[in-house]
Amino acid sequence: MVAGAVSQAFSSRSARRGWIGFALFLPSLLLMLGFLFYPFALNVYTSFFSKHLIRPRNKFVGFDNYVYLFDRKYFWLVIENEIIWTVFSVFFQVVLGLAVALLLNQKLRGINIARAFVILPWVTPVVITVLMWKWILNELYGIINHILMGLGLIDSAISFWSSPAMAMGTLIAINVWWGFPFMTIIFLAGLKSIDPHLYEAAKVDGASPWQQFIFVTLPGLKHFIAVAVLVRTIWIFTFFDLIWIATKGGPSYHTTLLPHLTYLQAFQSYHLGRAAAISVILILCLVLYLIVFFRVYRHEEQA
Amino acid sequence: MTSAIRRFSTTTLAAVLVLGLLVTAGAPTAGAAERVVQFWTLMTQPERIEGMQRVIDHFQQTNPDIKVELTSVGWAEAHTKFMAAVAGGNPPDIAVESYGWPITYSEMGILQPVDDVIEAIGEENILPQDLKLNHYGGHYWGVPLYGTPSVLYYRKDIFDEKGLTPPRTWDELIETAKAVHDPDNDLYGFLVTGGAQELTNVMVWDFLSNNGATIFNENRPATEDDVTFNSPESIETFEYLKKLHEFSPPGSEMWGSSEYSQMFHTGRVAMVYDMMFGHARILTTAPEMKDKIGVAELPTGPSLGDRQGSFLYNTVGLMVFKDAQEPEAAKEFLKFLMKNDDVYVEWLLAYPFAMWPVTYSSQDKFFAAPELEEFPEHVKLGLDALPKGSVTAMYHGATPYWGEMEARATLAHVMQRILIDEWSVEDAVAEGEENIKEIVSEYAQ
Repeated sequence: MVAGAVSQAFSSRSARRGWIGFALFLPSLLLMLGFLFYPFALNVYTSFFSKHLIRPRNKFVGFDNYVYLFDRKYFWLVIENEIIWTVFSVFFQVVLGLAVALLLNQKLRGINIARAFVILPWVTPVVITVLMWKWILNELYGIINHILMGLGLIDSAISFWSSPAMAMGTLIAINVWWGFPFMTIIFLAGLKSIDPHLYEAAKVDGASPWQQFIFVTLPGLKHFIAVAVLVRTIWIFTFFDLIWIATKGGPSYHTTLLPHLTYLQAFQSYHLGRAAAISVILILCLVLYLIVFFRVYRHEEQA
Repeated sequence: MTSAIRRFSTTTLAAVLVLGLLVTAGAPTAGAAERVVQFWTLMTQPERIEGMQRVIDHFQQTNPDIKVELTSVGWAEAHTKFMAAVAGGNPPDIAVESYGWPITYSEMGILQPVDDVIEAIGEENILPQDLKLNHYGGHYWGVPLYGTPSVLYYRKDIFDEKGLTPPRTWDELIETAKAVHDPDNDLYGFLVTGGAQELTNVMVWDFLSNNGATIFNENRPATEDDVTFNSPESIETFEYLKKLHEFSPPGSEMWGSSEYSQMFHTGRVAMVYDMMFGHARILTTAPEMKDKIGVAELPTGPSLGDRQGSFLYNTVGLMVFKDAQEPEAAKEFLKFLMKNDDVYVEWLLAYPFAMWPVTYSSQDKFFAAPELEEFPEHVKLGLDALPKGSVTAMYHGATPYWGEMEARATLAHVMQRILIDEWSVEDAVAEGEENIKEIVSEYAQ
């Protein structure tokens, strides 16, 4: 009897605690529903309609918006741009970020000042970064062309924005310059977490610096690299401002990404339905990436 | 007791102050305007903004019950700003527009007609092309404010040095470009651009319209079948531009106004097509250049035939939004500006050569202005050119499609296909025509 009363009291207390927990969680849930799930659901819903920003047109068209996009040559060019832009930007940011992190991890005089300076590109607003580089690379009055011509390395000024490959390459270079300090900071934190005894043990075993890097540093940084790549890929894939300020997606869509295409459809052609369809495609691409990423990551973990 | 009294006094005083503030904030002040007109201008030059503010000051003196609030929103992304304001249910009452926009917006149903304003100014008092470009579906949708003709700019100093005269035909233009072109010494004959900017639109239409090419035929309302962009005249024009591009600086395929100014003003490009607005820019930013730059009528192409040569006539006007809060007060302001020649001409001359009058009644006063005396050849050219003006996609009258063609940079894409992607001219023009037809078909849905 006593045991039953205790159990009842316990369960009612547990239920009360459960309700209190739910009440505390409710505001966050409502905010999530209002600001995340509702816009997302509305976006998916809109992508099946021929909806115009201004005109009172809102007809269900099924998958027509998607078919329209898949029929456009420029859409596939944009997908290609996304892959080139993201893969090269992330790759070079990781490589440069890691190299600088290794350098800054040395015990040298003035290293703290160097660590502070290396963060500068990252804290510079993107608008200023792009305008600065546009000036530096300008074919008429840019310092890069001036120096190269002064050294006799080129006969005429390089036009960094006129050819498709050059424009994309230039944008990736700017993005790498701007974004690598983020990687450096993460990797530096990772390097600090590696047990110094491992290096000492490796040295005792006769490991060269390269072997120490491969067998001690990289495994120690694995999780940090994974997080950095995951986060940066999502950010870079959805980039808008850097490219828009520099080239507006030109020449001829050769530097246009999915976010730009969304903007063009929504605010220059006013086709909200098509813009929503592009957003859905963008989300699906990222979901696919996350699935692949975590599969690979889990596989690596198990290995 | 004392502290209680002090607390009571402090609380009472605070309450009185707060109440006073609330009451005075809500009450109309003496002489305050009852009707407020929101006016979005896209102009950014201080001269033009200050000039328009003077017009507003004049207006408010005679209309103390109306207050006009001027906001400069800039040309960049103006369409987007208008759409966002309309979608948000808070558009301005009046806004500056460029050619074609009022017709596009009228099709969207976001403007109200301004027939009464045009009637008050007098149809017979407005230049015919300005009327034609704002008339669609039986109504006027924009009030013409000013026009700017485009011309051939050339470097007088370079021409004098080489003994050249301004070309009158395309053959002469290419010969002149060839005679000047000296890339080893950083001197180029002509500037051909493909950047998604207004400069490209101006240049392409100037060449198309001087070779008998059009984008739509005369049928109104125009349908997909009325798109005439993919024509022998167009192909000939783009072939010519491709050839002329050989005399253009490297990298110019993506240039816009800033690079053009840099190259032309420093004497590294000898010729360029631009609106006469360019002269206003020279006078304000590089006045030392004014005697080194000449203007001439645009050369004509081989397929123009008996048709009159044309040029891009950049007509700018004012539109009244359908959901305007004070449409009547807004229209009162428009009538005041356009009917009062003294006020109107004073504003046009706030930035000389950028803005040319669209009313006949203001022309005498405008062309006799001392600000223009120093440049008689510009004035003569402007006067001769004004009746020949036409605008892109609307040679045969207004269509609603130019706004979207401009937003999608349709003509610039054709240039980029040819100059950057190295497509054949035929393929690039065919794609351009398909893009235009797509815009037309979307309007029909």
